[in-house]
Amino acid sequence: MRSRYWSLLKKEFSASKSSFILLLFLIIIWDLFLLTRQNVWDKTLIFGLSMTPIIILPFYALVSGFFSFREEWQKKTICFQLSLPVRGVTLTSVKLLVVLIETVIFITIVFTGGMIFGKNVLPAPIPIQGSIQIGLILAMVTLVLTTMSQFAYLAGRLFHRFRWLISIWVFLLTGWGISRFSGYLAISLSWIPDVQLNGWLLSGVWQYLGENSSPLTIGIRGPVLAAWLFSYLIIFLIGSWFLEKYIEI
Amino acid sequence: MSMRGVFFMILAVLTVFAGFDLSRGGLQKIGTQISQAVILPAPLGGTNTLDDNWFENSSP
Repeated sequence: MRSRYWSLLKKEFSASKSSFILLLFLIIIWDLFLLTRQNVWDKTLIFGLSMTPIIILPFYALVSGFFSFREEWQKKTICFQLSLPVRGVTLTSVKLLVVLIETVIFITIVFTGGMIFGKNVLPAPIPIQGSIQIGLILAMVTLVLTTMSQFAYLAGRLFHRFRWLISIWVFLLTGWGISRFSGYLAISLSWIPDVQLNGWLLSGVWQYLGENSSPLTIGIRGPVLAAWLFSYLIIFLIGSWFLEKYIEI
Repeated sequence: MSMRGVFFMILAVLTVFAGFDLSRGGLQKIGTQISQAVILPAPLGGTNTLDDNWFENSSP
């Protein structure tokens, strides 16, 4: 079972290899370009620009969720995948895991660039704990978006006509439904403790605006966050169930 | 009924529900949901955060 999962993972990596390498290459080119501008442009601007590739991440997550499955249908490899003696959740989780690993590499490269350029600008080095926390939040957002787009694509595949329209509609409805109603789930998860995050980034913004006395922590309400994540887990499992049982090739 | 039919029914009901909700300010309530999850440290100078009734204060 483990070797099958590993071979699926390897196959998935090789499928998304070219687009991911291109993306990393563009980020490195961008950082090298900023390096050449160090003595010409404002250093704060260069630090800010070095972090801008993070904006790509949500779009990458959306596209990965949709296109990783679309490619299977286009290349007709979905027949092979569904004929394997594995659960639907194995196939969807492999794709999700690949996106997660790529996201971690992506964030590490962007943050490394940011730390290098930030050395000359920031009064104190970026705290490692704060960077890891931001990285985790970004990875979580990526996973959530990929799960949503995966689910939307698989739901669209249930139908024979207007698949794209249905996928987009499912995506929007899922986002609306979860953000609007997962709060009710939070009531039954009230035993989960709140989380305190290092608020260095926000404190930096306040300091830039002239406020030096704000506290350094950002609170995340554990039950609400858990309710959101639990809702996305349900969506993920429903999508996997569709793939395993109901989707026609 | 097939799974396709059941799913389509669910989508249709949710669509009507979403339309009704959004027409009654549901989009703003998503902001309230977010502000319930994140507790931002407010600066002393009174700059608004999501916890300070963001949508109420930002409307003209």
